[in-house]
Amino acid sequence: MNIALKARKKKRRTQLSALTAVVMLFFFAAFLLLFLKDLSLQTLLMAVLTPLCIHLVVKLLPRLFPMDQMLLTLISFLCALGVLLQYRYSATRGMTQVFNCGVGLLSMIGCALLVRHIKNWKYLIFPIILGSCGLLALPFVFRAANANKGATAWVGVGSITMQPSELVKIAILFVLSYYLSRRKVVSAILFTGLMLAFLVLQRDLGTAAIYGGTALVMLYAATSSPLLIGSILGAGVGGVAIMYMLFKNSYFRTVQNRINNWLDPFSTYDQLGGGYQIVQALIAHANGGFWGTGLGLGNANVIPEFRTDFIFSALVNEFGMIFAVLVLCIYAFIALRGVDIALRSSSAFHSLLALGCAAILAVQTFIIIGGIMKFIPMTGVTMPFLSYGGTSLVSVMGIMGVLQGVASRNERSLREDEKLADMGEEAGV
Amino acid sequence: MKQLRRSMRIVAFVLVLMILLPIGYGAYSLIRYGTRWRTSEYNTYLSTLKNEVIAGDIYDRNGVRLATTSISTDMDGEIVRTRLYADSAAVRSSVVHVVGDTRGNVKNAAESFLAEYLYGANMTYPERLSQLSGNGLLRGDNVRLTIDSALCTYINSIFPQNHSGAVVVMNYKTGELLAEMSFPNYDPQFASSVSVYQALNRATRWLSAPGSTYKIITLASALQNLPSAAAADRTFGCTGGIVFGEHERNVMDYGGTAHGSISLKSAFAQSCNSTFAVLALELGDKAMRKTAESFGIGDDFTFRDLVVENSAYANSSVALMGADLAWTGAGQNELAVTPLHMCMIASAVANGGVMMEPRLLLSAQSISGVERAAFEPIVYRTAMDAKTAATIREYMRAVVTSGTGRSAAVEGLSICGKTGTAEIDTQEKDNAWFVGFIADDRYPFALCIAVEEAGTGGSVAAPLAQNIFRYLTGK
Repeated sequence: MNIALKARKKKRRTQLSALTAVVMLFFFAAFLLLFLKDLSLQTLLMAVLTPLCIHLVVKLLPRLFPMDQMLLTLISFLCALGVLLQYRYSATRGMTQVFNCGVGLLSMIGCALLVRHIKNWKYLIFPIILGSCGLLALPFVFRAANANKGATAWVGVGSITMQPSELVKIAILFVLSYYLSRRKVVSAILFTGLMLAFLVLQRDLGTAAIYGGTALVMLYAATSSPLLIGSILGAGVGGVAIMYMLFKNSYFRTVQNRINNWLDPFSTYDQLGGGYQIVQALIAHANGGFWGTGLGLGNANVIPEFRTDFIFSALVNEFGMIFAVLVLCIYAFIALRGVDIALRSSSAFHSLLALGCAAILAVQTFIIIGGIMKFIPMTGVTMPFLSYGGTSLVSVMGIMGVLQGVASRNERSLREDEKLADMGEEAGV
Repeated sequence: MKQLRRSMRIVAFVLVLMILLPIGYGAYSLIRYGTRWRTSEYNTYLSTLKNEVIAGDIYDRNGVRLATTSISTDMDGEIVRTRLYADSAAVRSSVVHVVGDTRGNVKNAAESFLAEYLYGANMTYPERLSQLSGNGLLRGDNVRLTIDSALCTYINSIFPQNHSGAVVVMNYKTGELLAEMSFPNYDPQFASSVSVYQALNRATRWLSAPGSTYKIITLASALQNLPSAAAADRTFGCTGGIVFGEHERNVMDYGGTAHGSISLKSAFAQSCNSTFAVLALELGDKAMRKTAESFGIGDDFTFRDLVVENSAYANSSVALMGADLAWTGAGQNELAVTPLHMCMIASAVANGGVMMEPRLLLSAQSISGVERAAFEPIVYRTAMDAKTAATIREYMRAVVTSGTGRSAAVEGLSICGKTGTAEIDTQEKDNAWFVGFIADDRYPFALCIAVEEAGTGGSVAAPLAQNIFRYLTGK
């Protein structure tokens, strides 16, 4: 290997170390601040252990498993930020979120290893499709048990509840990449349609939008045909219009509510299922302003769903709009990194897979941030990395694992290329 | 693969846009509406702040104290804060819709909308520390409003009893609001229960058809788009109304009076509905709508110091036709304008076409004397060119010298005005309106008066205007 390349790699390592150090310092300072407020030993321990865990994950993990260190640093930052935001309002919830992050980490390692080592996906695709359908059908079985919320997307056994559609997110990436890399566009569209049908019947429109948006992005990348995307979008709008005519007073009642809440949340403030959440979120943003109220001084907990869907409002409230924009820049960076990994990949399947990971992250972020910023109507989906909850973290970390897997395959083929080149140099070619 | 790579660049761009567009919108709307959200009555954070900081005082432009906080200790040694309003009961009631009360009955009044100053949100940490080291209490900034409480008390004393309505007086050169009153009002110190009817600020929150005062805008549109309309030889034949058909709402002149063959100027002075209906039909919906927009109708008002409901030309963007368009030209139909906005429209005419932003905050000062805010005039928009404004001014002068607004005249002053008698279907009597101003650089004041269910603008609102002009100039 030539010297210039080595020097560049070394410089990159130093930059990464500096980034990790900054992230560690951030959480040390943040938890120390919380400690000064509550003076509990647990918080003090968190101030020490959180940076330590980040250090271990970022430095040790790449030695055991092939991982992109830059991605790992950013992901750890976002996960730890999620823990901090939960911990700030409730220490118990914060500790549960730490556990959730641990499970998420396992999911990431698992997915990364699967993608790295499985060479032939041909015989796995059909079982994945069947499994996805089975998982998405599960909520219907449990439907009677929980008819209280807007979406019947949850299944529960005892105290453990989960949202199958979160796990199926990872599965659809594989199925779509498989079909599209083999130019089976019709199969890809039919599969997506089937998944959407399940979700629409469960009234989980947010997740349906995530699936649909991701599928569209992947479809465009594979075919680069604006005509196809345009006609699918047109058909989708037409379909929604027809359904609206048919189910105006039953199914679309909640949808209509959400649109009204989006147009003028203040006017529906007092209604059941009205604009209360959005108004309180906007007020939380306004209280935070550009610089935030300061960690521990905000009151985003007046928003009913502040732990999950509206966690980003809690962030804007205490850290301010400028910080929030910068945090979203990290999401944008992760998505760009995903596209970069996709570009470096030598197989169409893996390239599409990496792109799908970036797309699903971006689409989900768009839907939830758009919702809480009153940019689009609110649909209840979780904020990747930050929201409270195990299933959500397992799914988004799994997606990051898939990305890591593709990255490590790229690295491996790169190394093989370099070996060949070095051999060539030695032989005097 | 090659094709995949090409499309991925576009995909990368789309993904980044998806992540950053919503937050960009969020940041933009925070700049635009942040103060409104923060001061909303639903904000629980503000009430927390009220427990921590002692609210600053509110003064009027002449230094009369309108609100202060008195601090005492009760038997348990707890600190008790009492918000005290102006000493005189008449002053308290007269300015209640501007100042507000502790219970937040009046939405977006100074007590809540200027909370940023009153609760010291701009205090620096050294300031906080030095205040806390004094008596252990944080104190917000004192604010001075542009309001003239003596003028408000005078208007309160002459406004017809048992009528609801609004009066707005502003300086048309600077935008300072001298009076922004709503009737009925109440005493914020002693009122035990305040009804929504009393608490509604009609000056800023009451959207209604402005009646013939709107002919100012129809006239502006005609002067700009129909050069022949104002020509000396052009006359309009008025037979007391225009018949559109059996099932249509025919445009009628007030009391069915036929004005005969008249010029545009005297049609304006006599407030002839038929003439302005004809003008509206000649102008068409597009031109009428465009002129309305140039006067700020349909704007999303986000003024710095006060919240004003947005005015509307019509309920939808569908082009108006026939009787609807004709009635709009005469200030009826679906027009919805607040008295404050009508005052801004009269001000624009007085100020050579330039509409100033209405302002309420004269200055804000911390108790240690640090200046947080100081008044400066801000141009809101240019409503029309100076030539059109000068012509309308001349026409409005004719209203007071020889037209329907004769009872607003004050000898020795060049008063310009326009009366309005707005017909509301659900009411027995009409709403009386008057907008006007003094065309004199020494007294740059414009006003708008609206009295609900009172009669004609010329007989009810114009005499009120005369008294207010007299008071303002000391004549």
